[in-house]
Amino acid sequence: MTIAVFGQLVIAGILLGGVYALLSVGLTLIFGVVRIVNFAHGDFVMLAMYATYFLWVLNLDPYLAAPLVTAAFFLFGMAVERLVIRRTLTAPHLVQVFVTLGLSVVFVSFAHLAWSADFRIVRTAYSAAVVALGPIRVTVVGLVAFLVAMATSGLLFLFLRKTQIGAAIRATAQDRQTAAVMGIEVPRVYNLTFGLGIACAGLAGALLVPMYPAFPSVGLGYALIAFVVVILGGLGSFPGAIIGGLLVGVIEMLSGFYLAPSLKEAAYFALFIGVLVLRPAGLLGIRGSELTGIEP
Amino acid sequence: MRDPGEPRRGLGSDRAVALWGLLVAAVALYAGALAIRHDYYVDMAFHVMLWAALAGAWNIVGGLAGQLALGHAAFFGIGAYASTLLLVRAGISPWLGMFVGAAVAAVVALGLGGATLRLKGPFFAMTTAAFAELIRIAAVNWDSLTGGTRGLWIPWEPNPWHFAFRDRRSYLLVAVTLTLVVVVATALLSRGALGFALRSLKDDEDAARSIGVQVTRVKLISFVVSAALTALGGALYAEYLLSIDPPSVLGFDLSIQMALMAVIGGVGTLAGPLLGAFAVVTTSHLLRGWLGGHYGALHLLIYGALLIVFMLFLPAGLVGLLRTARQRLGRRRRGRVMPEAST
Repeated sequence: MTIAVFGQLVIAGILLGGVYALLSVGLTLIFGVVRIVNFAHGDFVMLAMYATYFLWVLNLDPYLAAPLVTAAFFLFGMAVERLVIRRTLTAPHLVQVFVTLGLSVVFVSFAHLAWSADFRIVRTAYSAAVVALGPIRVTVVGLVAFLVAMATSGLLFLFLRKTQIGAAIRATAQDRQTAAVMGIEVPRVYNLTFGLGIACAGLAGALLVPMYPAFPSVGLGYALIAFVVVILGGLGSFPGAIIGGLLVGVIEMLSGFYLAPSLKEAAYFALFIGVLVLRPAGLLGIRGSELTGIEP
Repeated sequence: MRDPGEPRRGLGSDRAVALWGLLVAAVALYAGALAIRHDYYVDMAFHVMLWAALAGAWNIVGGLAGQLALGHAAFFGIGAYASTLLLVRAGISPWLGMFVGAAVAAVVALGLGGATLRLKGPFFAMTTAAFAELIRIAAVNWDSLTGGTRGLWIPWEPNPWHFAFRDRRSYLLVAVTLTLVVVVATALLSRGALGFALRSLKDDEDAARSIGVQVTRVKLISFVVSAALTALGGALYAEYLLSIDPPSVLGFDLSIQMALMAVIGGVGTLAGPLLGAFAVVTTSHLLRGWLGGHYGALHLLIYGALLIVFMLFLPAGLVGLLRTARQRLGRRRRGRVMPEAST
């Protein structure tokens, strides 16, 4: 009996973790290439959740809206980079942290003003549908979210490995100056990467909203999850973000059940602090990056 | 004839000027505080001075040492809960309780700082933020100690020994005193070898270490002092409001606000946090008064927008703005370029 429960929790955790992985891939991409910590990442997710919600209100199924939202947020990300982030690239950490923090505050209070603090829930015909995989039951929305998130992460990974633009992005992440010398337009790479990172956040939001309600401050929770995942998996590491995401999803489910629902956040914050103190480079990250800073 | 490069001594010395300046400012603040009649303005002034103290306390670690701490709400909450618990459960006066809270916060800061101050910029920021969230979750869940989400409330009974004053201006006077203490602490930490160590590690940590600066120890000192002062502010706030709960004294937004005010005012400067607190708190109070209700979140939107604008275009904050203005005026009046004053 308990094995079945455990197994159920692990599977549920993996499904949720898939979306966390997607969300964190965006963050780690931004970290690894543009070298800034995007404190507003979770709030981009929040805005995407609202965008998907409003499209649903206009009778567009969330899974059909998802590609639209992703594309829109790709453009949104590029715009934010061009207008705001770009000016902070050579500034001290203080400026970078506070600019993205400021963005976060602006997004949250805008959402609050425009759409009030009421929870917005998307309910479709399949919202409550459950599918049986052997002895395990999974929700349709959870399964779809996982599959789409993993497929997208896979595509992104292939993009980075197999295309020329992907190579340019990876080169910039490795050594910005040499990349520039090789003829790569670094500002454009930054712009594109930031856009990709935010697109990931946008898709994650679209996938989450059929499962969880949207409200203005929901972003903080997702931002912290993304940070935990990225730190756990290692800054700038794509596979690290995937593994970290799945791990955090499982930890959240297990601690929510075996400890207490209100303590599940505590579990991964404690993990977060633990990782930062004991093995700051994370499982697969660049060793010492947290000590030398994330300068290229 | 005195050589212009030589520091002045005696009554005209920099130190004497500073002390006189402090005395004048203190007298002005106290007199001003006592002169306010209307409760609304007393309340607003209280919040200005409290936040000035909090921003100033944050500035000690964020500005002097340059460490981006985003978890000061933890210390604020520790101060609030410690003094309130001691009062409500053990009948101990907050006059004593607030120092107990400060001591607890100092110990916590020692532990946290020891483990995490070696992390750079955004990493340290994330860790402190996560830590403060942990404290908040602990407060929410440890029902038997903290009253959980219901929080704690202090029964009202006017008793100066128990920090309960009939005249609200008394709270304001305490807030002014706390702010002055923070200013003095900041000034003292900026002087001498310790001040030199702080400035050098803020500039370039590795270079500082190479000339023998005890980087970790100095950072730790600033973090602990900052935490203790923040906790005092928390205790004061708890006594003023008479009721506390996790969101009101441990919320992440509090951590952001403390840093935000110091940064907007001018991070690392003496007057910066005060100016920042004054500008931000009065604007938000007035806005809330005019717009109220539905537009309550508008002041937050403005905070965020201000933060972005200041960080992009005015990173030296209001103090920086005033300095540039003063220099430009000075140049125009004298008609020639003056050597840069080192303020």
